[in-house]
Amino acid sequence: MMKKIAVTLRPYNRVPFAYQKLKICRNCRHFTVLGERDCMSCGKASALQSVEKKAAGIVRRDHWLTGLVWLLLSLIGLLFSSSSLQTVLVIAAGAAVAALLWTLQKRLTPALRRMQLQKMFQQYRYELASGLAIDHQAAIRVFQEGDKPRTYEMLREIGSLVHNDQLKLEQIMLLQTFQLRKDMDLMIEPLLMDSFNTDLVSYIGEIAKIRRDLIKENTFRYVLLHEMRILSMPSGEAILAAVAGAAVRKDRYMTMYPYLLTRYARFLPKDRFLRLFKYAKSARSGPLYDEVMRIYEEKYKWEPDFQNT
Amino acid sequence: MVTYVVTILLVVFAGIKVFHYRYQMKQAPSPKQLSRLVLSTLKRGQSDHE
Repeated sequence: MMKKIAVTLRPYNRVPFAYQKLKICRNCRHFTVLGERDCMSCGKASALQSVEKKAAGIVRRDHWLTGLVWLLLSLIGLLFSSSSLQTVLVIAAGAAVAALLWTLQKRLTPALRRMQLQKMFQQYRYELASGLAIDHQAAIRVFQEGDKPRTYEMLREIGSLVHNDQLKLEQIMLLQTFQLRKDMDLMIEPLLMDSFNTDLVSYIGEIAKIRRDLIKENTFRYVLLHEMRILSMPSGEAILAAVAGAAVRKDRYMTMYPYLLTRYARFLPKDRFLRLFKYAKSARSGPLYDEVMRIYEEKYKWEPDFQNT
Repeated sequence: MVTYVVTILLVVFAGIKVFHYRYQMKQAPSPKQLSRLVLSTLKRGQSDHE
Protein backbone atom coordinates (compact mmCIF):
# COMPACT_ATOMS: atom_id res chain seq x y z
CA MET A 1 0.00 0.00 0.00
CA MET A 2 1.28 3.47 -0.97
CA LYS A 3 2.51 5.57 1.96
CA LYS A 4 0.38 8.66 2.38
CA ILE A 5 2.03 12.01 2.97
CA ALA A 6 1.07 14.61 5.54
CA VAL A 7 0.29 17.86 3.75
CA THR A 8 -1.06 21.30 4.45
CA LEU A 9 -3.45 22.59 1.84
CA ARG A 10 -4.31 26.22 1.40
CA PRO A 11 -8.01 26.92 2.03
CA TYR A 12 -10.17 26.97 -1.06
CA ASN A 13 -11.44 30.41 -1.94
CA ARG A 14 -15.15 29.95 -2.64
CA VAL A 15 -16.90 32.49 -4.87
CA PRO A 16 -20.65 32.84 -5.59
CA PHE A 17 -20.13 32.40 -9.35
CA ALA A 18 -17.33 30.44 -11.01
CA TYR A 19 -16.40 33.15 -13.56
CA GLN A 20 -15.36 35.42 -10.65
CA LYS A 21 -12.20 33.33 -10.34
CA LEU A 22 -11.04 34.33 -13.80
CA LYS A 23 -8.23 36.82 -14.35
CA ILE A 24 -7.18 38.43 -17.62
CA CYS A 25 -3.82 39.81 -18.67
CA ARG A 26 -3.92 43.51 -19.56
CA ASN A 27 -1.16 42.92 -22.10
CA CYS A 28 -1.91 39.71 -24.02
CA ARG A 29 -5.56 39.01 -22.97
CA HIS A 30 -4.56 35.59 -21.64
CA PHE A 31 -7.15 34.15 -19.22
CA THR A 32 -6.21 32.23 -16.09
CA VAL A 33 -7.56 31.05 -12.75
CA LEU A 34 -4.05 30.69 -11.36
CA GLY A 35 -1.44 33.29 -10.61
CA GLU A 36 -1.69 36.39 -8.53
CA ARG A 37 -0.19 39.25 -10.51
CA ASP A 38 2.26 38.17 -13.22
CA CYS A 39 1.02 36.74 -16.51
CA MET A 40 2.23 33.18 -17.21
CA SER A 41 1.74 33.61 -20.94
CA CYS A 42 3.59 36.85 -21.81
CA GLY A 43 5.54 37.19 -18.57
CA LYS A 44 4.49 40.80 -17.98
CA ALA A 45 4.68 41.71 -14.29
CA SER A 46 1.53 42.82 -12.43
CA ALA A 47 -0.52 42.46 -15.61
CA LEU A 48 -3.26 40.19 -14.25
CA GLN A 49 -6.55 41.67 -13.12
CA SER A 50 -9.85 40.02 -12.32
CA VAL A 51 -12.34 39.97 -15.20
CA GLU A 52 -14.85 41.83 -13.03
CA LYS A 53 -12.35 44.62 -12.44
CA LYS A 54 -11.65 44.79 -16.19
CA ALA A 55 -15.38 45.01 -16.99
CA ALA A 56 -15.84 47.67 -14.29
CA GLY A 57 -12.97 49.64 -15.82
CA ILE A 58 -14.56 49.55 -19.29
CA VAL A 59 -17.94 50.69 -17.90
CA ARG A 60 -16.27 53.45 -15.88
CA ARG A 61 -14.45 54.65 -19.00
CA ASP A 62 -17.77 54.76 -20.87
CA HIS A 63 -19.33 56.81 -18.05
CA TRP A 64 -16.41 59.24 -18.16
CA LEU A 65 -16.76 59.64 -21.95
CA THR A 66 -20.47 60.31 -21.53
CA GLY A 67 -19.67 62.91 -18.90
CA LEU A 68 -17.08 64.48 -21.18
CA VAL A 69 -19.55 64.81 -24.06
CA TRP A 70 -22.12 66.33 -21.68
CA LEU A 71 -19.51 68.80 -20.36
CA LEU A 72 -18.37 69.73 -23.86
CA LEU A 73 -21.90 70.41 -25.11
CA SER A 74 -22.80 72.37 -21.97
CA LEU A 75 -19.66 74.53 -22.21
CA ILE A 76 -20.20 75.25 -25.90
CA GLY A 77 -23.81 76.19 -25.12
CA LEU A 78 -22.73 78.53 -22.32
CA LEU A 79 -19.92 80.02 -24.43
CA PHE A 80 -22.25 80.91 -27.27
CA SER A 81 -25.22 82.07 -25.14
CA SER A 82 -25.95 85.70 -25.90
CA SER A 83 -28.68 86.38 -23.35
CA SER A 84 -29.51 85.40 -19.78
CA LEU A 85 -32.49 83.39 -21.06
CA GLN A 86 -30.21 81.27 -23.23
CA THR A 87 -27.78 80.82 -20.32
CA VAL A 88 -30.59 79.68 -18.05
CA LEU A 89 -31.84 77.34 -20.80
CA VAL A 90 -28.43 75.69 -21.24
CA ILE A 91 -27.91 75.36 -17.48
CA ALA A 92 -31.39 73.88 -16.96
CA ALA A 93 -31.00 71.43 -19.86
CA GLY A 94 -27.48 70.53 -18.75
CA ALA A 95 -28.54 69.96 -15.16
CA ALA A 96 -31.56 67.86 -16.18
CA VAL A 97 -29.46 65.70 -18.54
CA ALA A 98 -26.73 65.31 -15.89
CA ALA A 99 -29.26 64.24 -13.24
CA LEU A 100 -30.92 61.77 -15.62
CA LEU A 101 -27.64 60.23 -16.81
CA TRP A 102 -26.17 60.06 -13.31
CA THR A 103 -29.28 58.28 -11.94
CA LEU A 104 -29.36 55.82 -14.85
CA GLN A 105 -25.64 55.07 -14.63
CA LYS A 106 -25.83 54.48 -10.88
CA ARG A 107 -28.78 52.08 -11.25
CA LEU A 108 -27.54 50.26 -14.31
CA THR A 109 -23.82 49.88 -13.56
CA PRO A 110 -24.10 46.23 -12.35
CA ALA A 111 -26.04 45.25 -15.49
CA LEU A 112 -23.63 47.19 -17.73
CA ARG A 113 -20.68 45.38 -16.13
CA ARG A 114 -22.32 42.00 -16.78
CA MET A 115 -22.88 43.04 -20.42
CA GLN A 116 -19.17 43.82 -20.69
CA LEU A 117 -18.30 40.48 -19.16
CA GLN A 118 -20.55 38.70 -21.64
CA LYS A 119 -18.92 40.59 -24.52
CA MET A 120 -15.48 39.69 -23.16
CA PHE A 121 -16.27 35.98 -22.81
CA GLN A 122 -17.83 35.82 -26.28
CA GLN A 123 -15.16 37.86 -28.02
CA TYR A 124 -12.22 36.09 -26.37
CA ARG A 125 -13.60 32.54 -26.16
CA TYR A 126 -10.50 31.06 -27.80
CA GLU A 127 -8.21 32.86 -25.30
CA LEU A 128 -10.47 31.65 -22.48
CA ALA A 129 -10.28 27.99 -23.50
CA SER A 130 -6.57 28.10 -24.26
CA GLY A 131 -5.88 29.95 -21.01
CA LEU A 132 -7.39 27.17 -18.92
CA ALA A 133 -5.55 24.57 -20.99
CA ILE A 134 -2.27 26.40 -20.27
CA ASP A 135 -3.20 26.43 -16.56
CA HIS A 136 -3.67 22.66 -16.69
CA GLN A 137 -0.28 22.22 -18.32
CA ALA A 138 1.27 24.40 -15.61
CA ALA A 139 -0.29 22.14 -12.96
CA ILE A 140 1.16 19.07 -14.67
CA ARG A 141 4.61 20.72 -14.70
CA VAL A 142 4.33 21.37 -10.95
CA PHE A 143 3.36 17.71 -10.42
CA GLN A 144 6.40 16.57 -12.40
CA GLU A 145 8.56 18.73 -10.14
CA GLY A 146 7.18 16.74 -7.21
CA ASP A 147 4.99 19.33 -5.45
CA LYS A 148 1.78 17.33 -5.02
CA PRO A 149 -0.06 19.67 -2.62
CA ARG A 150 0.48 22.65 -4.88
CA THR A 151 -0.59 20.57 -7.90
CA TYR A 152 -3.82 19.65 -6.13
CA GLU A 153 -4.48 23.30 -5.24
CA MET A 154 -3.96 24.32 -8.88
CA LEU A 155 -6.22 21.53 -10.18
CA ARG A 156 -8.83 22.50 -7.61
CA GLU A 157 -8.88 26.06 -8.95
CA ILE A 158 -9.04 24.88 -12.57
CA GLY A 159 -11.75 22.39 -11.59
CA SER A 160 -14.04 25.23 -10.50
CA LEU A 161 -14.44 26.08 -14.20
CA VAL A 162 -13.46 22.96 -16.09
CA HIS A 163 -15.85 20.13 -15.26
CA ASN A 164 -14.48 16.98 -16.83
CA ASP A 165 -13.81 13.52 -15.44
CA GLN A 166 -10.11 13.63 -16.27
CA LEU A 167 -9.52 16.64 -14.04
CA LYS A 168 -11.68 15.16 -11.27
CA LEU A 169 -9.73 11.92 -11.44
CA GLU A 170 -6.41 13.77 -11.25
CA GLN A 171 -7.58 15.55 -8.09
CA ILE A 172 -8.85 12.32 -6.53
CA MET A 173 -5.62 10.47 -7.31
CA LEU A 174 -3.64 13.24 -5.62
CA LEU A 175 -5.98 13.31 -2.61
CA GLN A 176 -5.48 9.56 -2.23
CA THR A 177 -1.75 10.21 -1.70
CA PHE A 178 -2.46 12.63 1.17
CA GLN A 179 -3.21 11.83 4.79
CA LEU A 180 -6.68 13.33 4.96
CA ARG A 181 -7.53 15.21 8.13
CA LYS A 182 -10.68 16.74 9.52
CA ASP A 183 -9.25 20.27 9.46
CA MET A 184 -8.44 20.18 5.74
CA ASP A 185 -10.56 22.08 3.27
CA LEU A 186 -11.91 19.02 1.45
CA MET A 187 -14.78 18.53 -0.99
CA ILE A 188 -16.76 15.73 -2.61
CA GLU A 189 -19.62 17.06 -4.72
CA PRO A 190 -17.42 18.81 -7.34
CA LEU A 191 -15.45 15.56 -7.76
CA LEU A 192 -18.41 13.26 -8.39
CA MET A 193 -18.32 11.65 -11.82
CA ASP A 194 -21.07 10.13 -13.93
CA SER A 195 -19.33 6.76 -14.19
CA PHE A 196 -18.19 4.36 -11.49
CA ASN A 197 -14.62 4.86 -10.30
CA THR A 198 -12.93 2.88 -7.52
CA ASP A 199 -10.65 5.75 -6.46
CA LEU A 200 -13.62 8.07 -6.10
CA VAL A 201 -15.46 5.48 -4.02
CA SER A 202 -12.39 4.96 -1.79
CA TYR A 203 -12.19 8.72 -1.36
CA ILE A 204 -15.89 8.88 -0.43
CA GLY A 205 -15.27 6.14 2.13
CA GLU A 206 -12.48 8.15 3.74
CA ILE A 207 -14.49 11.36 3.77
CA ALA A 208 -17.44 9.53 5.33
CA LYS A 209 -15.20 8.71 8.29
CA ILE A 210 -13.68 12.16 8.91
CA ARG A 211 -16.11 14.69 7.38
CA ARG A 212 -19.64 13.24 7.39
CA ASP A 213 -21.03 16.72 6.73
CA LEU A 214 -19.62 16.64 3.19
CA ILE A 215 -21.72 13.60 2.27
CA LYS A 216 -24.89 15.02 0.73
CA GLU A 217 -27.66 14.07 -1.70
CA ASN A 218 -25.51 13.78 -4.82
CA THR A 219 -23.03 11.56 -3.03
CA PHE A 220 -25.77 9.32 -1.63
CA ARG A 221 -27.26 9.11 -5.11
CA TYR A 222 -23.88 8.13 -6.60
CA VAL A 223 -23.28 5.48 -3.96
CA LEU A 224 -26.76 3.98 -4.35
CA LEU A 225 -26.44 3.98 -8.13
CA HIS A 226 -23.20 1.99 -8.00
CA GLU A 227 -23.93 0.00 -4.86
CA MET A 228 -23.43 -3.43 -6.45
CA ARG A 229 -20.09 -2.48 -7.93
CA ILE A 230 -18.97 -0.93 -4.63
CA LEU A 231 -19.83 -4.16 -2.84
CA SER A 232 -17.50 -6.02 -5.19
CA MET A 233 -14.58 -3.82 -3.99
CA PRO A 234 -12.38 -5.21 -1.19
CA SER A 235 -13.65 -2.77 1.47
CA GLY A 236 -16.89 -1.95 -0.32
CA GLU A 237 -19.17 -2.97 2.53
CA ALA A 238 -17.23 -0.82 5.01
CA ILE A 239 -17.49 2.16 2.64
CA LEU A 240 -21.25 1.71 2.29
CA ALA A 241 -21.59 1.38 6.06
CA ALA A 242 -19.62 4.63 6.52
CA VAL A 243 -21.89 6.39 4.02
CA ALA A 244 -24.93 4.99 5.85
CA GLY A 245 -23.41 6.41 9.04
CA ALA A 246 -23.27 9.79 7.34
CA ALA A 247 -26.96 9.51 6.43
CA VAL A 248 -27.80 9.18 10.12
CA ARG A 249 -26.56 12.75 10.57
CA LYS A 250 -29.88 14.28 9.49
CA ASP A 251 -33.50 13.17 9.85
CA ARG A 252 -34.05 14.29 6.27
CA TYR A 253 -31.46 11.81 4.99
CA MET A 254 -32.89 9.02 7.14
CA THR A 255 -36.27 9.71 5.55
CA MET A 256 -34.82 9.87 2.03
CA TYR A 257 -32.56 6.79 2.21
CA PRO A 258 -34.29 4.18 4.39
CA TYR A 259 -33.18 1.27 2.23
CA LEU A 260 -29.51 2.27 2.50
CA LEU A 261 -29.88 2.37 6.26
CA THR A 262 -31.83 -0.90 6.37
CA ARG A 263 -29.08 -2.72 4.53
CA TYR A 264 -26.12 -1.32 6.52
CA ALA A 265 -27.55 -0.49 9.95
CA ARG A 266 -25.90 -3.65 11.28
CA PHE A 267 -22.44 -2.21 10.58
CA LEU A 268 -22.98 1.16 12.23
CA PRO A 269 -20.92 2.11 15.28
CA LYS A 270 -22.90 2.33 18.53
CA ASP A 271 -23.29 6.11 18.62
CA ARG A 272 -24.57 6.19 15.03
CA PHE A 273 -26.89 3.30 15.65
CA LEU A 274 -28.27 5.02 18.76
CA ARG A 275 -29.25 8.03 16.67
CA LEU A 276 -30.85 5.76 14.10
CA PHE A 277 -32.63 3.87 16.87
CA LYS A 278 -34.20 7.08 18.21
CA TYR A 279 -35.37 8.01 14.71
CA ALA A 280 -36.70 4.51 13.90
CA LYS A 281 -38.59 4.37 17.19
CA SER A 282 -40.59 7.43 16.15
CA ALA A 283 -41.51 5.68 12.87
CA ARG A 284 -42.85 2.58 14.67
CA SER A 285 -43.25 0.55 11.46
CA GLY A 286 -41.64 -0.27 8.13
CA PRO A 287 -38.61 -2.26 7.00
CA LEU A 288 -36.15 0.16 8.66
CA TYR A 289 -37.96 -0.03 11.99
CA ASP A 290 -38.04 -3.85 11.82
CA GLU A 291 -34.33 -4.08 11.02
CA VAL A 292 -33.34 -1.54 13.69
CA MET A 293 -35.39 -3.36 16.33
CA ARG A 294 -33.84 -6.66 15.29
CA ILE A 295 -30.33 -5.23 15.73
CA TYR A 296 -31.34 -3.61 19.01
CA GLU A 297 -32.59 -6.94 20.37
CA GLU A 298 -29.41 -8.69 19.26
CA LYS A 299 -26.76 -6.21 20.37
CA TYR A 300 -28.03 -3.29 22.47
CA LYS A 301 -30.94 -4.56 24.54
CA TRP A 302 -29.05 -4.18 27.81
CA GLU A 303 -27.13 -1.00 26.95
CA PRO A 304 -28.01 1.84 29.36
CA ASP A 305 -27.87 4.48 26.57
CA PHE A 306 -30.67 2.68 24.75
CA GLN A 307 -32.80 2.28 27.88
CA ASN A 308 -33.04 6.04 28.40
CA THR A 309 -34.54 6.77 24.95
CA MET B 1 -28.82 80.15 -32.35
CA VAL B 2 -25.82 77.99 -31.44
CA THR B 3 -27.11 77.77 -27.87
CA TYR B 4 -30.48 76.44 -29.05
CA VAL B 5 -28.77 73.87 -31.29
CA VAL B 6 -26.50 72.78 -28.43
CA THR B 7 -29.47 72.51 -26.06
CA ILE B 8 -31.29 70.30 -28.59
CA LEU B 9 -28.11 68.24 -29.02
CA LEU B 10 -27.89 67.79 -25.26
CA VAL B 11 -31.46 66.50 -25.13
CA VAL B 12 -30.92 64.22 -28.15
CA PHE B 13 -27.69 62.94 -26.60
CA ALA B 14 -29.54 62.16 -23.35
CA GLY B 15 -32.30 60.40 -25.31
CA ILE B 16 -29.79 58.23 -27.21
CA LYS B 17 -28.05 57.31 -23.96
CA VAL B 18 -31.34 56.42 -22.26
CA PHE B 19 -32.34 54.09 -25.14
CA HIS B 20 -28.85 52.61 -25.21
CA TYR B 21 -28.95 51.89 -21.47
CA ARG B 22 -32.46 50.42 -21.67
CA TYR B 23 -31.36 48.12 -24.49
CA GLN B 24 -28.29 47.03 -22.51
CA MET B 25 -30.44 46.46 -19.42
CA LYS B 26 -32.74 44.09 -21.37
CA GLN B 27 -29.79 42.20 -22.88
CA ALA B 28 -27.72 41.99 -19.69
CA PRO B 29 -27.20 38.41 -18.52
CA SER B 30 -27.61 37.32 -14.92
CA PRO B 31 -24.49 36.15 -13.04
CA LYS B 32 -25.79 32.58 -13.41
CA GLN B 33 -26.04 32.96 -17.20
CA LEU B 34 -22.51 34.35 -17.27
CA SER B 35 -21.25 31.31 -15.35
CA ARG B 36 -23.07 29.01 -17.79
CA LEU B 37 -21.56 30.88 -20.74
CA VAL B 38 -18.04 30.41 -19.39
CA LEU B 39 -18.61 26.74 -18.57
CA SER B 40 -20.09 25.98 -21.99
CA THR B 41 -17.26 27.87 -23.73
CA LEU B 42 -14.70 25.80 -21.85
CA LYS B 43 -16.59 22.56 -22.52
CA ARG B 44 -16.68 23.34 -26.23
CA GLY B 45 -13.00 24.27 -26.13
CA GLN B 46 -12.22 20.89 -24.59
CA SER B 47 -14.14 18.92 -27.19
CA ASP B 48 -12.51 20.91 -30.00
CA HIS B 49 -9.14 20.10 -28.45
CA GLU B 50 -10.06 16.40 -28.31
